[in-house]
Amino acid sequence: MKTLPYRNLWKWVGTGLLLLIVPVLVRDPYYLHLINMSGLSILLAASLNLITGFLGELNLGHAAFYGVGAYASALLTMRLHLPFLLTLPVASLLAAFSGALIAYPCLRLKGPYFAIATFGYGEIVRLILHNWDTLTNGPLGLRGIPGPAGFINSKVEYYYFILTIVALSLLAIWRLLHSQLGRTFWAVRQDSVVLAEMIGINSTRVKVLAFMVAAYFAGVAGSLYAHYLRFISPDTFSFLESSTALAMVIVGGLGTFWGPVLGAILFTWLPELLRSVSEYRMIFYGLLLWGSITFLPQGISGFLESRIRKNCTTGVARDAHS
Amino acid sequence: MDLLLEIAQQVINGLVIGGIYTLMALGMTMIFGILDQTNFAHGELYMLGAYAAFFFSMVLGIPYLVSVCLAILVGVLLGLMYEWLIFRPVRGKDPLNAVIASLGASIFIWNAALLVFGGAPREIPTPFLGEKVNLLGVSLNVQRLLALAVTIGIILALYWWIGKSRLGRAMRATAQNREVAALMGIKIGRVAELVFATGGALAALGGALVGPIFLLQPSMGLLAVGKAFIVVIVGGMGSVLGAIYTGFGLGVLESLTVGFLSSAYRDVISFAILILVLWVRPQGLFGRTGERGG
Repeated sequence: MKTLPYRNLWKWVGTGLLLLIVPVLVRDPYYLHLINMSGLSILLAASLNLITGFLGELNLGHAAFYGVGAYASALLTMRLHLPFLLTLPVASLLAAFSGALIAYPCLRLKGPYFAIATFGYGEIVRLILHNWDTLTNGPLGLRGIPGPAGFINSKVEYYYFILTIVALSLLAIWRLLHSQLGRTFWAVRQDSVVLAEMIGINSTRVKVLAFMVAAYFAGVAGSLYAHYLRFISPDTFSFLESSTALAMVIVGGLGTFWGPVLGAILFTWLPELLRSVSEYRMIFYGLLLWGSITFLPQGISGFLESRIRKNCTTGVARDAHS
Repeated sequence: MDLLLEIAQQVINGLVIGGIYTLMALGMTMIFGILDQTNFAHGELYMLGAYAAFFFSMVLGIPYLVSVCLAILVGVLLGLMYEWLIFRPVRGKDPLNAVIASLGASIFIWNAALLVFGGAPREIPTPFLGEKVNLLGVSLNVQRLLALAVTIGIILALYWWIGKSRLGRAMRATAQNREVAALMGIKIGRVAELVFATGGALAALGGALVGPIFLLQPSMGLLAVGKAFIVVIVGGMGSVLGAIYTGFGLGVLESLTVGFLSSAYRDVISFAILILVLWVRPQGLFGRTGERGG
């Protein structure tokens, strides 16, 4: 299944039309805001899934890439007065570069070592944002980041912009995963890396590339975040954010294409459902993370899939593998 | 001469902090070396140990030293809970599952603690904090000296216990080869319970000892676990001796950084050392490739 599943064309057209009329259906600006935030979470979770789901490496510092994208984009517009449409790709490329910077030294590390190294990187980035006052304005954060004035002015216009970016990014990730390169992501996982090397795959190159792609899309999310909310501070890109992104991927379904999307939406709306008990929110996240990996290691989408597979005699092709 | 005194002061402060890092790192390195599992929620044992000491001494009015002993008991119970609820269900699966499960537990515990204890910093009263002794011109706080002395004593006892006792031998056998150890009649479940109980006791002791020196906060475990990870990795994962040297070394280095540079750089330097060591010597300073356990 190299291309998009055209046999489900009508489903896709229906979903697309539904997404296009969302601003007509959702009048409440707050709910529209949450939908926009879901879009950013989807980018964050889908990019983390490339590393943790497909490459099989636990990344506990994903918020660092998100932060690099956000701060780079904000500073480029505020200090150099570059337009948003230029800073978005530039900041994302900078995030991708930081991904390569992290990937190279960590590649020799395995399993928990790798996870702890990424935890360390995340902390270093947060500490730099926190302490480099002259550049980042320290713990106070950056206020009054200019929005993309001129062509995006309202939440509705933001909705369409974010929708477009998320759709294009997911499409790009989908195409990547079903390309020759994407299949090598599976091949260089820990348990089969020796075999992969034997058939001529340069595992270092593949892993660094995967990291750069993941960091790029996290950077896109960061840049969107900075200009959409117009305020960023180091606290937004802390270890807590990294763990929330991880929870989206794990609870949604590690290594499946749609699982993290599902998880991202779930974790953006969950706080709303729990608003009356908001102080229990993080307690609930922790419980979900533990419960999911202990009782449902394949996540919600993996669980649903196995149920469907059990019911269908023909079986359903797994999206991401093919 | 003043500079020398200042350095001596900072080194002693550093040894106190380093001792606490070591207490935590020893538990984590044992869990990794013997059971091949990574405990991300180890900082919460430390935090709960400190709050337990606070509860016993402040709320129940029990003398400080007795409260410390009770806090160790709490640590043992918590360690056993960790083993039963978090680590045993994921044993034998992908090692990353243990990292994720304990990460979830960590987030759960510290946010629950925030809810129960509140975010306001608290202080454990102790009769030793106000007292000072003068040693060759260096003024030393008795609570710090007590913490340092207890830490060193416990570390020596642990080192002897792992090296010499029957239980220690069972633990080392399990570290070398779990299957063969099981065939030799060692109950792996028991060894795991023992390892987690020990780890919990050490971390809780650390929390109870520094509680009076620093303020108690529900988030104190998160930073501490970061530091303990640095110690465990730089010392060589699974190496008991490495954890001891690196723990004290890191504490002194941090203390000197704060004293002579700036407290802003303290954490940056620690994490930079972690990345540097991972880069040039991923097996750690005291670890040999393929070596595990004490």
